[in-house]
Amino acid sequence: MSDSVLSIRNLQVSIQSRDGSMNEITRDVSLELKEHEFVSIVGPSGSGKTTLLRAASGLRPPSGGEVIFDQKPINDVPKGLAIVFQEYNKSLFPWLTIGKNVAMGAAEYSNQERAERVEKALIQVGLSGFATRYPWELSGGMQQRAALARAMVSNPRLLMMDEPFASVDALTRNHLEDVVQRLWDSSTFAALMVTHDVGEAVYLSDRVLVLSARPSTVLAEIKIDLARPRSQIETRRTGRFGELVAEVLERVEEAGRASVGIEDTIQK
Amino acid sequence: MSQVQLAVGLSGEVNEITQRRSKPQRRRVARQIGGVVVAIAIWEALSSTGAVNKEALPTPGATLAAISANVGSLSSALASTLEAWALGMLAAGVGGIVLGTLVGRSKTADAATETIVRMMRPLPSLALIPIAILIAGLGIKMTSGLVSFAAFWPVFINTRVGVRQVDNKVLETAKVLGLRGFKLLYRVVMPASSPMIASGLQVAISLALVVTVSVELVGGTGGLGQFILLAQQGNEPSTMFAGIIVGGILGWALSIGFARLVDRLIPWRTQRTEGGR
Repeated sequence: MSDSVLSIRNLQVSIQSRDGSMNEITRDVSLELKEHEFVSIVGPSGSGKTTLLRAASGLRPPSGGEVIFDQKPINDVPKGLAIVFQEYNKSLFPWLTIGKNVAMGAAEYSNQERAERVEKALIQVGLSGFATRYPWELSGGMQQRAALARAMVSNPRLLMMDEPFASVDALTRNHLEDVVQRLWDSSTFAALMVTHDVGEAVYLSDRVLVLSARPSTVLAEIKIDLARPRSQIETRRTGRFGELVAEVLERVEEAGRASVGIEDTIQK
Repeated sequence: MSQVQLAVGLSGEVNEITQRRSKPQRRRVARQIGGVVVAIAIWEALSSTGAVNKEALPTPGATLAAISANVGSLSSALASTLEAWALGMLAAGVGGIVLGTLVGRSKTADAATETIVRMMRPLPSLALIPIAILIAGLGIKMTSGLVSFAAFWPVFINTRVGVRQVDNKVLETAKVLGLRGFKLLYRVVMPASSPMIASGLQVAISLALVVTVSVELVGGTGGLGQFILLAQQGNEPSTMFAGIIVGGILGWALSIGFARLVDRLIPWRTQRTEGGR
């Protein structure tokens, strides 16, 4: 028995383009996510990070390889997996209040337990008192907190996040990162985050994987040996933080340059 | 403790919700009333100066007098029209929403029905009166049947498009939340398409009234249409106008009533673009 929550094995994803030809997005990605581990995936834009996450979560079938969650191969979004998307304004249902949106994540519990869980989740993300508001009455940052609460309310084994804070301003992003960090610290779920923000990846993760340009493979794996709990100011002030960010950034740049090189040769 | 601090710090982030019945809104209502007053003034000018034959266009005063003289027969005509309209709308609404949702969710059904829909939609309901009489006889069943035929299309088409246009992120979110099948339809797909469905219904409501009164007028099947027809045959233009004006007021009331209902039920319809991408 392994203690891995998620194992992605030789995942390959091709998407059919409009003219019928197959477009290889992900070539060969493998990854083991251990219990309560926080892993981020970064890569140059267009490296298929989101595609990878969608295949890994069961939202789209892979073209090759397999994904094992909780000892079982997945072919649909499995129970125990929660996802937070970038587009909070689309992923929260505008016809439901914040409380009811969050409750959607806890459908399998009894009414009373659901109510308790919703309240607890809202407190955890700093939204207690906002249960009766509608998503469109809240700012972007608060909407994303609500999306996090909805993910937490089901007590997931694995939380996937797809560029979760890319649509909010920098200060709000820092706050949200700390909300995620606190949730992770005080719980047992494992997290897999896709982001283009290298600083964010380093700040939150135990490991950062760098994807190559498409068709993507894992180009590098960087262990983040920063002490926990981390703090936006103290952690970012340390020299080690800067080194790690630079190291990851270097690999991402490398991947990006490689892809530009390929495009140049194609054009010539 | 830190949670409390967080919540306090956040309260400033809440968007202000604009107060209902704000100043611009009141100005709008005033302008709407103004428009009606101007229209009545033009009507008065046209008929009292004799610019339009008085036999064809009675003055507003004469029309008002005809309304009060015919309150009894007008209200029973109104009730009858409303009944035929409501039955037709009910069938069109339920049928259009249910079929539109099913067809919109299935690529096969969507393609299979496309040609038929394009052929049926432009058919004028009045052209179907002879067939409707053969099927249902002269009466409210026939009227309502034709009304539901006419009103079905905007509801069906809007529902179909609305259901098809539900954002993929919304559907993926529902999938992650474990919603499948019928639950997915009524808990996510239908609410998400409700703004489109509502605008289809809004169009259908007015169209259904046009068809109700027209069929009554042509078929003589009671209601306001027949009231207008009889007044014309009796050579009483002001009574005829009384029927027309009451029909107009009914149309206004149904349309505005529904618009208010939609504002209440789908308050987020106009807020859709706020926040995020």
